[in-house]
Amino acid sequence: MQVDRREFIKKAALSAAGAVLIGSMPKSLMGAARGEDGLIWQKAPCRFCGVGCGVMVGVKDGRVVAVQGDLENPVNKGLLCAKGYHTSHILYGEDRLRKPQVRKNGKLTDVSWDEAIETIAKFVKKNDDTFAIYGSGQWTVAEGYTAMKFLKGGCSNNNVDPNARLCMASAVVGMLTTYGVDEPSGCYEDFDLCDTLVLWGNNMAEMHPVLWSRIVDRRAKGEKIEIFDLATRRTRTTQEADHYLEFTPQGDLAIANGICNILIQEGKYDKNWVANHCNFRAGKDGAGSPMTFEQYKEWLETYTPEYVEEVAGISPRELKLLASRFADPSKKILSLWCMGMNQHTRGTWINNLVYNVHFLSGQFGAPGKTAFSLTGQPSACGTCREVGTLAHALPGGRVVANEVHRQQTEDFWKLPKGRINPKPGHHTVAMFEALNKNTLSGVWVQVTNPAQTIPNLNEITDKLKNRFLVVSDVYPTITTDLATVVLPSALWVEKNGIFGNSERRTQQWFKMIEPPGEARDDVWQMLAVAHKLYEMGHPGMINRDGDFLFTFKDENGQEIEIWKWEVFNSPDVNVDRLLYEEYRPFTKMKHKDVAPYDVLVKNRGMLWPVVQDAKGRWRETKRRFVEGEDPFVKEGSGVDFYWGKEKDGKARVWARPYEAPPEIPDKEYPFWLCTGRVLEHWHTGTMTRRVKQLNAGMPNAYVEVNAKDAAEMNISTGNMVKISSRRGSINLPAWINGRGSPQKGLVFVPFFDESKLINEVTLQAYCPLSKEPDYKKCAVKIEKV
Amino acid sequence: MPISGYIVIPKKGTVDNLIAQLNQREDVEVGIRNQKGFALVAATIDDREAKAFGKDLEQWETVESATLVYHNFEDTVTQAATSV
Ligand code: SF4
Repeated sequence: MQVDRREFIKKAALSAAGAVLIGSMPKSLMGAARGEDGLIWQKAPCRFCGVGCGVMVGVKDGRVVAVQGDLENPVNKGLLCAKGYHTSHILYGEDRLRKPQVRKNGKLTDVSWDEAIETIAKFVKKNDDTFAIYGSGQWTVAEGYTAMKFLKGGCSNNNVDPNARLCMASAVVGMLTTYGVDEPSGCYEDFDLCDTLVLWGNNMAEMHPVLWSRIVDRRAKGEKIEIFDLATRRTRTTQEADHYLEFTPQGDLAIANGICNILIQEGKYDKNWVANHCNFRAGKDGAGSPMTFEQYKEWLETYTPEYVEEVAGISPRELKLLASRFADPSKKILSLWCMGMNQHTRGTWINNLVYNVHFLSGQFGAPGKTAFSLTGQPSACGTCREVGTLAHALPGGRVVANEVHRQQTEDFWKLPKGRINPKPGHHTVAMFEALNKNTLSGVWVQVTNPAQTIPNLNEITDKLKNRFLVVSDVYPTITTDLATVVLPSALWVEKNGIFGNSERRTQQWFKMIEPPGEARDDVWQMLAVAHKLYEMGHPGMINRDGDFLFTFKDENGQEIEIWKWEVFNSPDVNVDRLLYEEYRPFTKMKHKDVAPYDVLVKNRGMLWPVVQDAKGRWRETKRRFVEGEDPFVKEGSGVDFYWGKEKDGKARVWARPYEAPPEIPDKEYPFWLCTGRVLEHWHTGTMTRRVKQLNAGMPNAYVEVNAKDAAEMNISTGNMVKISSRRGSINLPAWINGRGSPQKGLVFVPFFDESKLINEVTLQAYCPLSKEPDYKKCAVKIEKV
Repeated sequence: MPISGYIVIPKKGTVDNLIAQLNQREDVEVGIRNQKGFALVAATIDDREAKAFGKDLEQWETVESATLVYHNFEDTVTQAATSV
């Protein structure tokens, strides 16, 4: 196995280098072009993570036969990671779902599309107020938008939420409460321009490998970049770091406040920046109440280096070292984070606090100086955050609780007044609780696998099999095992699509091959059910003109029958374009103007806001809120937080306290449990575990145990260990001093392995503001078995 | 043991010699080649050696440039997850 793994990595390295070397062959392929090798090459974003690397996809005889990094794409400049190089293999697993299935007499049975669609429509017609859609940060923009319009516009029901709730909701609420609008100010160019990198619980080397390579490459070329790795376990990222600051779980809240306290006590904060761009706010909720700088200064005084050491476990020397970098105005500091900070019972607060550090030090709104939240999924930003596929939201940064917003949306969608329900739907954890209690009668799951990812699975998914569960997926999963209806879906380049990555880059691709068997696009599946409901006389599927909710007309004014597969799938009709162009005006409402579809076709994605200049050219925006870059910034302001809550162009600095986590190790359960991902696998492994090379690289879950703990308990690598919490237990092989090495008293388990469900052990606690669960800390005991 | 992938551009007329020289080493493997250069993968003992290898390669008389395009921080212990 060891040899396989090393050979696999060597091959990945060789293919990476080879792809860059020969990458000049299909240079500048804006549309499809035939290479010398007879392959048709077209651009697409990688199917996997939020980095959003560009790939060139080579198709021959209706099959994807090659993938290489896209040299023209500024995200990755030709480079891909191990997952990216194997993207094409995810299309060709032997057990791809090919036929719709309906459970009959307890067994999933192949049926026609007509029967499957009718089964769903009949159920929704009767239960339209208790039906939910659970989607994904891997939804394309059109998929998320269709789900929103279908349920919120068609069923007056706001129970739409995505799995992105589990990974980036805290970043969203963090930004909303800090500068009044979601998504980062900076961009990936800042990775090339910073001189100091602060990683807040972010194992970039495994989770964002291509961005990490950009940093490593700069170092390899002799550039000096100082890296601080703040973490609870040593990882591959630590190996490259100059400073490893190991903190007690939840201690990050105290560390951030501790840095701010030092900056102010030593008079080393950026007084001009603070005066010009900051308001101060106290409180535990999202609104808070105003406070003065003096009050904030006094409030912070608790966070002495000694107090920080007491609760966060990092020494005063380490804290002062990190603070000294923020105190140095000559530095260009980039802070990065992802799930380590977001999956936190105070995820919103820690997001607020990291902005505090950057605002007080003036490390914001200039090249190389920013605080940047990375996303895990390829369109967590483009779909979940921009389209707004969250239970409280509407497209374009609108919210259902706001009457004006509802009216605007009703006008866009041509709905009768009052159609949109003002009551927010259930967020993810509440949605599965409601399904458990039968207050929600059914759910349509698309592009995600909740039976593996919801925390405290024993409680939450227990009754799912007794509800009306529709699952659209590409392979069987443990969620399809519970389903009433299974719909086979088209995957990646088997359909048209648009993703939006971490840096606000919207990327479009065209369908390149046919899906296998009878698999069809998720968008079509929803349109077909919507139209079936329309045929059945469901009043919600009729707009105020008396037309079908999803009415599109051709240039002759004839309705395009997009609910018919042969029309939807015709090369003359691009439903993705129709839906995207219908959605695009929403994006102007909060200055997130995405580029027109046809402009995206010609580019390797564009960073919004995208506006036309005086000559009519479409211009992207590298840094939001920055004068000279962002077209919406007021002249002379330098940095303008134009959506700031106080409407004075300023952002908020929040007094958010350290708060202990809801479950901490005790005598009975003396260890912390932290869960996460691995380089080789995409989330629950539905796709990557079907790629031989990736699965050989990481075939099974394990538990990382600290070497001293292991010695004390006589545990060696390979020994089976039982991990138990108050909620459940699993047995896993131990790995000591392996890829990662946790701090003493902490164990780490990845969640990709469906045969070892660590989420039967995790805690169901979540951030009260973002509703994002904390998968990074709960109390467990471990025993050698 | 880290694994690094490089694009090596040789000086004019030296490519065959250079590849032959590299092929004698156990820690490197030469990959795809075109008129510009070739891909190379190096497996080194630790990170320090990986960096030293890259720097050293750039200094070779026959090497015009060596650009790191892939780096994998391989597991620090001999026993990988796959063997547990
Ligand atoms: S870093 Fe992410 S987007 Fe890039 S190739 Fe790897 S998985 Fe794909």
